[in-house]
Amino acid sequence: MMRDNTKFIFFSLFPCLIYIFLTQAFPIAYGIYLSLTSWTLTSTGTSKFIFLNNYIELFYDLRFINSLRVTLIFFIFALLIEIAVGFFLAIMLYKLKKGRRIITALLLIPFQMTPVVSALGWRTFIYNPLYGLLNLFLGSIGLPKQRWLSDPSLVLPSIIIYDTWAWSPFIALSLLAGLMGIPIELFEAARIDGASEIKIIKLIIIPTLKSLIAVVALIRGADIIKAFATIFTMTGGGPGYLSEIINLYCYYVSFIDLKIGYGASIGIFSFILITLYYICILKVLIKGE
Amino acid sequence: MSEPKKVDRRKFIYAGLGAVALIAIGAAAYVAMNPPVVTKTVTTSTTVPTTSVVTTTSVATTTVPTTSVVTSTITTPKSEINWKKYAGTTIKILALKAFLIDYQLELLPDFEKLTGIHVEVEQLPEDQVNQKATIEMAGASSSYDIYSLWGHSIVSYVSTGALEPISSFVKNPEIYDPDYYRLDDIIPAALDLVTFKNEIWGIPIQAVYQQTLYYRKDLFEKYGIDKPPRTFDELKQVAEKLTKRSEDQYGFAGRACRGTQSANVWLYYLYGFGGKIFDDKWEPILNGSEGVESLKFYVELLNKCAPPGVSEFTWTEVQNSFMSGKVAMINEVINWASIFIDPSKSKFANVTGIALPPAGPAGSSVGVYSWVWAINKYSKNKEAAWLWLLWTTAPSQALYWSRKLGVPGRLSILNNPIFKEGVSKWYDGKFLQVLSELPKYAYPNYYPKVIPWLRVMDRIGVAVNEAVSGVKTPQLVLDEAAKDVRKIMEEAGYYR
Repeated sequence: MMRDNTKFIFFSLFPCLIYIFLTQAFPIAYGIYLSLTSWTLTSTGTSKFIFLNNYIELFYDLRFINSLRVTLIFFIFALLIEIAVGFFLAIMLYKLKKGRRIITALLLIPFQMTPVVSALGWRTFIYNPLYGLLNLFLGSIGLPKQRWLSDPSLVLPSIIIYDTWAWSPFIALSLLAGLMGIPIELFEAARIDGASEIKIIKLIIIPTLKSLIAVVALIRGADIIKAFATIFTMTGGGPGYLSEIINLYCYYVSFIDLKIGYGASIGIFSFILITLYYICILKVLIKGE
Repeated sequence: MSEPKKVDRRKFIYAGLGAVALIAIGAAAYVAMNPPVVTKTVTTSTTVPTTSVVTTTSVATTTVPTTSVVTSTITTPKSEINWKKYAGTTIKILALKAFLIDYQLELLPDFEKLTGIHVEVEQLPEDQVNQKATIEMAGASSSYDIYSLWGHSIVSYVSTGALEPISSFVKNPEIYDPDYYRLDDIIPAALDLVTFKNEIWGIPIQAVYQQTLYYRKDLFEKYGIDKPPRTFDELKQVAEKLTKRSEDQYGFAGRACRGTQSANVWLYYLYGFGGKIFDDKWEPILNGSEGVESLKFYVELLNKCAPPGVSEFTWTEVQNSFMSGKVAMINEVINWASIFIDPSKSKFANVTGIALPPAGPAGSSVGVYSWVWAINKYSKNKEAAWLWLLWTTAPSQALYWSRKLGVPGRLSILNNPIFKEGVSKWYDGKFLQVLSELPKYAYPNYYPKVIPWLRVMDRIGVAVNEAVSGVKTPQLVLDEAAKDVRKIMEEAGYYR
């Protein structure tokens, strides 16, 4: 009886297992294998197995270390700002009695757009130094025009502002759903006891939404580490290497320099980073339960 | 009073939303349908788009111009070549999607009639066609018989061993007739581009001079400048004079984006100042004093005289900024000449002038570039593929499409009355004058023949971008670039 059951379960899972193997396990394993070879498309196509040499080289590669630094800065600031803005928006929306539906619908727009399209839109209509709205505005109030995406000190903040515009509504809507789940009696009781708004946020809202924030941070954090399309469209990693995040570097190595083996090792490194981040957040989540 | 008003407002909103929705649906249906019949119901409009989508994609992927009407009066001159030798064979071409290829493909039906060879063409945009060709070559694939390739990196393709040199065909009198084809008629600088290890690895389509000075005659007149600048110093002075930031008017613009194209532009200034990328032993010396001097010059020129954000400029932005009238001078490729005098494309068609590019202290240093037809070594129909190359780039056919392009790849066409007649009126005759004088100013080996040249160029492009956007000083960026270039060369097996 028991044996039949396992057989049945196995057969039922079989198609799914094949699917997972073909689309997930095999590519990852093949990627790991590639990262241990010296395969380069520009040479005559010879590929040698070189063990961990690619990974050792990573630590001597200044451009890689730079990309790691850029990724880290982008990750920390974008994530924190997005969550802060999203949280603030969620509370505003919760307090809003009229027109909440329309505003929620409008808030869907930024992250429903294809990232490449919205990034290109920002690049050409907002950040463009000659015709961009931002510079037209600055010019009209008498401030000097800025090179948003080519000034070394402005490029990352500009990208972070775009990313916040695109993704904080997503966080706001997720948190709003959480807020709606909190019984109103809790707030009323707190108010009767004379708690200030800040205290309500600190003692009621944040503790109840903690695991939701962690989930949102999990999704967004991984997305930020993986970010490619937006930065590729907006700056291509420039000026110089100042906005070249790890995945962009991986792309250049693999598909412009055509160093497939070395590129794979960067990809695997980025994969490990994301996995580590997942583990950290999951630990927080489990602790919170 | 308040009760009916409330209902009215709600009704009004619903009606408004309904109207908006209707307009949206109508607009969507109209856009999707395209054909003039719009007065049908929504259900029919939903079926129409699917067919229209299918037709557009089929047009985009298969680009064999089977239905194009060719009104060429050119006949193939008599020769000893056995055109019918490979009748019935099918050859496949991987080509760039651009006018210079399209004009040649217009002749395909004539070729098919003459030889009985069936030609299939796949056309892709620049970056993709290059990437695809590289991958095909690395895989020693025989899917395509002919590639269209970047002339400046032919060495890297040769190093993969996937190209067949021309010498394997020209020895066979059945498929080559020197009097008919005249290989020595191809502009030497362009032929030099594809010559490596005493072999010719492809046929250059044009000789595209990378630098030509385009300027606005009306602005020159307005600010009292009587002639176009002839030297770098004059270029800077004139550009400064023409820059009026408060009026959004700039003297000069050039490419400075990250990537190979800004390196391509800076090379002109580097050579103009007497610098070089490599010494005799392939050691990078681009960070020598001439190199730093030339980059300083280019950075200053752009930062003082170019529109803000110039460090993001690709060729598109350079072209647009000139055509929109914001920029008074550009030093750019010669094949834009036909665009700038076309009144349907440029507002300033009547007042755009052309001149020889300004020369540096070490003399003129114009780059010559071309797209190149090359034959796949692993192809199974090499000789049939060669026949297409031979036929389309021979003087008689080249005249046909060179006339449309304005920039030929053969000396005889430069002097051909039919060609001259077509372009003689361009820029009041100045175009033909510049075009015929430019070969004298060509810089030999503008693109050093090293295997990883594309990577080297890409790295130099980053340095130019860094310097122009002010990340680091010219000296520092070039020092770093030289170090990386050395590493790239080492990886490719130099210095052993």
